Amino acid sequence: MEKILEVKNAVYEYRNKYQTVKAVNDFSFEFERGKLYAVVGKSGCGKTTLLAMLAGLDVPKEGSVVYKGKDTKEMNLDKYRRDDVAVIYQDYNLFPLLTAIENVMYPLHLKGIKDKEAKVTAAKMMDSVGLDSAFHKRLPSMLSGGEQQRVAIARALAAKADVILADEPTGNLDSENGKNIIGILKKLAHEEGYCVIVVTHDSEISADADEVLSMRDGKLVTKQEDKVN
Amino acid sequence: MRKRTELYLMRYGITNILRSLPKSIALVCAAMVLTLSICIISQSIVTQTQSLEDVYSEYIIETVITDQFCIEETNLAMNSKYYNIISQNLHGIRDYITDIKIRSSFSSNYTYMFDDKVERELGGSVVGLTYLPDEEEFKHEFNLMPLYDESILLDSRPSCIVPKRMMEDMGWEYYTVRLRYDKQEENEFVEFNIVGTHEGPDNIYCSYESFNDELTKGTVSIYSFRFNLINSKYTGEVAKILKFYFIEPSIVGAIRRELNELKILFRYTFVMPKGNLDDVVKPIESDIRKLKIAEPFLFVLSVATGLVVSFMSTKNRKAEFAVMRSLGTGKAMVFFEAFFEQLLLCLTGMLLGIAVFFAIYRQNAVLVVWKIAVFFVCYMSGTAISVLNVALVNVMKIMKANE
Repeated sequence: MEKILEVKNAVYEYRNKYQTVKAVNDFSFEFERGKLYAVVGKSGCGKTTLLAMLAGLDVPKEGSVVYKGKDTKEMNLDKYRRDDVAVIYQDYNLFPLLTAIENVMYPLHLKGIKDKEAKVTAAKMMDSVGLDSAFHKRLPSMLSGGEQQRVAIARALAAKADVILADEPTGNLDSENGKNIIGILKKLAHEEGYCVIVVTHDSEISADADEVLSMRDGKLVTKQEDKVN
Repeated sequence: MRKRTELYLMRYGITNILRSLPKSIALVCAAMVLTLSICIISQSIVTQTQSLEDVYSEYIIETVITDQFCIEETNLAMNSKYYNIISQNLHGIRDYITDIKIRSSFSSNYTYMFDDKVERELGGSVVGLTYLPDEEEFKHEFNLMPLYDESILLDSRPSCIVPKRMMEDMGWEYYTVRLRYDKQEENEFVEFNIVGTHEGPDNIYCSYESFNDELTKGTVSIYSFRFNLINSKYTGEVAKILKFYFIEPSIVGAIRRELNELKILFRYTFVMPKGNLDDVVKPIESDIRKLKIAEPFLFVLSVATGLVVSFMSTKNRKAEFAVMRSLGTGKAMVFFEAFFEQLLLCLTGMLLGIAVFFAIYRQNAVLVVWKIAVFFVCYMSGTAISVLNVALVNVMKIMKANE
């Protein structure tokens, strides 16, 4: 499997006037294409901070995040977020005043793709997550949680990124919708070759993941080898 | 590509505005009300200033400079140079000074001659005039030649009106006369064109400037100096200048026994028009002052409103802008999108404000266009501060909130 994303001795600190907390502390790991990773751990253990660094929202204070051999510190992070990684959030974070298809078209427009072409691609992406044209013109407020999360996944797919990062993607969903979402993420990793990294408390995801990364106090404490495939 | 992205973000902004119509209408209304207020205040200032100008030009102030006893016939020991000083000082408002009436006289020791080279002693005075006195003032008639017009006496070219008797003696055959002050050299005469005759005593009336320039080697007596100020706006300025050379009257009839800076005791008076100018002018001036004080406050209010309105409208959208950022939209692009929305709302409000102003007042808003521009800049500055705060949102916080 091709190594796509690597974290090398990453350290990330949050500071306030009373204390400095190391949310991620000397974390190292290599992520590969075609695998579904689950990052687990108690609240405040640094999972989301790790995901944020992988998503290029910030860079580690020490160490590095390396994408395809290039340190994110040396990259244009806006471009990295636009082209190379896509994020799915627990609370979907769709644009509330855009319709479902317009939400999916957003990253395509950012890349400068023409409207007509963007619409065709977005429709395909929505189809691939099980949302037909009946959903296209609905605003997020007219969709269920599961449907919104699918739109968010379609938006992530539209970006044509190699890495999909998901932060508690099933956290706000019932078990059936949760299962569907897990199924989609698994399919994306195993059939379409994405590197999918999921931060979760959901044991089902952990069970389905190719690798589970357990974090405690910002550190990687266990590394479970591929158990599927 | 960047251009296409910008166009898309503009479209995104318009979509946002249209799909959150109640909020957008509220923002447009805020900008409209402010624009309307600025238009009304600015227009009121323009209107009030215009009425003030109208009032000023309706009143004519007659200024009289006379001697300390206020008797016109008493000679003043006033040198002609004061006329020049005043003329120079009043230069900026010279257009509003009309009917300058100065009479200067020197009562003796002049000789005159015609072409026959025989000098004769003038029995009366030589009087310099800037105007032709009416019969009531001089108590005798004037017979003017066709070449006379009103400007001749204000002109520096020597011209004069001679006694009818003098012309009769000479057989009416001359058109010029030579005058000489008897202490001057024989060849220092001044030749005057005769522009008319009068039936009064043996005085020669000549144009004031030529009299001053050529014949005032000795002391000149001026016993009348008056002019009209046709725009009462400049009363204060005229008074300031006159105060320097003359003594200001205190109460009518009372005389202040003090000397001016030139150590000469003169006084001037303003003959005020009917009605009290202050009663009309003061309330208008007070209104203008109040409006001018209100105006800058309105601009400060515009900055504050722009700031608050944008802050309120973007406050709940921080997550949305953070998501934009997380999807790879640069800070500048986020700023551009948010600012564009506010710009569009402000412009719409501004245009509506101008339209409402026009509909109500039927006044051309172009008169106050630069003030609307100042408002626009103020409002958008406030907006920019607020939007900048959003564009610089810490995206990590969104992620942390989920943790």
